[in-house]
Amino acid sequence: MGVGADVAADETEIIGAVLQGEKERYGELVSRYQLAAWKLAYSFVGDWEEAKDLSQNGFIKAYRHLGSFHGGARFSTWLYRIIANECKDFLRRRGRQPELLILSGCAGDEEGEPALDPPDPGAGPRQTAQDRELASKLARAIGRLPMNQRAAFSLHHLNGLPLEEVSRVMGCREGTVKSHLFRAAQSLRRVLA
Amino acid sequence: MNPQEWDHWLRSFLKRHPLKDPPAKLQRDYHRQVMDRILAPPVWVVRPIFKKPWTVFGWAGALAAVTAVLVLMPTPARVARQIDRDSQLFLETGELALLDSAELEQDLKEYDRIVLAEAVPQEPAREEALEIWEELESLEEIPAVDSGEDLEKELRQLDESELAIT
Repeated sequence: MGVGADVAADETEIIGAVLQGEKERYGELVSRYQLAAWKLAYSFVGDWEEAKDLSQNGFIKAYRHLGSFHGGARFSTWLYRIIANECKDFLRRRGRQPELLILSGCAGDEEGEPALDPPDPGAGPRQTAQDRELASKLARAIGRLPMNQRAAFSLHHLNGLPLEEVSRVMGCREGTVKSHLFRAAQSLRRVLA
Repeated sequence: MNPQEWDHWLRSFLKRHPLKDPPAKLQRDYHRQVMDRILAPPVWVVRPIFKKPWTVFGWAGALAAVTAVLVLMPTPARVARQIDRDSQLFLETGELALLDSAELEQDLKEYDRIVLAEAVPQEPAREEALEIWEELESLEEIPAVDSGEDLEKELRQLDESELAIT
C-alpha cells in the first residue's frame, strides 16, 4: 500500500468521524492542507489576505458539503477544486486583473531572500540580479494570462499538482489541461524573449 | 530555444524561484479562524428577541408612542407649512383661518360693533343738527327769486342775516 493510499485511508477515516459528529477532527484536514490551499488561492489572486479569506471559505464550504464527498478522488483534489472556483468567482466579481504574484527572489520579495541555490554555484551577483529581474517579469506575465491558462499553470507549475489532479480540479480532460499549459508557456516565452 | 528546451528551462527556473510562503504574521490564526467558523452555531438559529409574552405589548406600546410623537410633534417644517396655509387662506378670504377660536370670534364681533357704531351718527350730533335746522327755519322766509338782480339782492340779505346769527 503506497503513501498515497495511506493518506487517502486516513482522510476517509477523518471524514467519517466528522460526519459522525466529531467536528474537531476536521481541524486535522485543515492543518494538513492549510498552506497548500492558501498558496493555491494566492497563485490565482496574487494577494495574501484575499487568498487567506478565499482558502478559508473553501475549507468551510468543503466542511458544509462533506456529506456529498464520495471519496472517488482525494480530499485535497476536491478541496482545491472548491478553492479554484472561489477564486475564479472572486476575480470575475472584482472585474479586474489579479495582483502581481511574488515569486521568491524576485523584486517585491519583502524578505529579500535570494533564490534557491542556482544550478551554477559560480553564478555570481550579476547572474543573481538577472535571475531576480527575470523572476519579476515572469511573475507579471503569469498574472496577465487568461483565466484557464493561469489556473492550469498555477496548479501544475506553481503548486506542483500532477496533470491528472489538475484536470480533476479544473473539471476538464487531461488533454485540455495540456493545451492550456502549452498556450501559457507560449505566451510567457513571447514576453520573456 | 525550441519549445522542449524552453519548457525544461521554465520548470527548472520555477524550481529555483517557487511561490513564496504566506507572511508569518498572517499564518498564526488561520487554523483557529477556520475552526471557529465551523464550530460556531448554525446561522439559521435565531435567538428570540422576546423572552416573555408581555414584552410584545411593551414593544408595541413603545412603538405606538414613538410613532404618535413623531406624527404630532410640531417640527419647524410642519409649523412653517401651517403658517403658509393660514397666510394663503387670509389672502383668499380676508379672514384668519383660526375660526374655531371662540376668543377671536368674540374679538371680531366687538370690532364690528365698534366700527359700525362709529359710522352711524350719534344722538347728540343728531340733536345739534336739528337745532341748527330750527334756527334756520326761524329766520325770515326767503322770498321767491324772479330775476338775477333780485337773486343777488336776496343772497346778500341772506348772508347778512347768517353773519348776524354767528
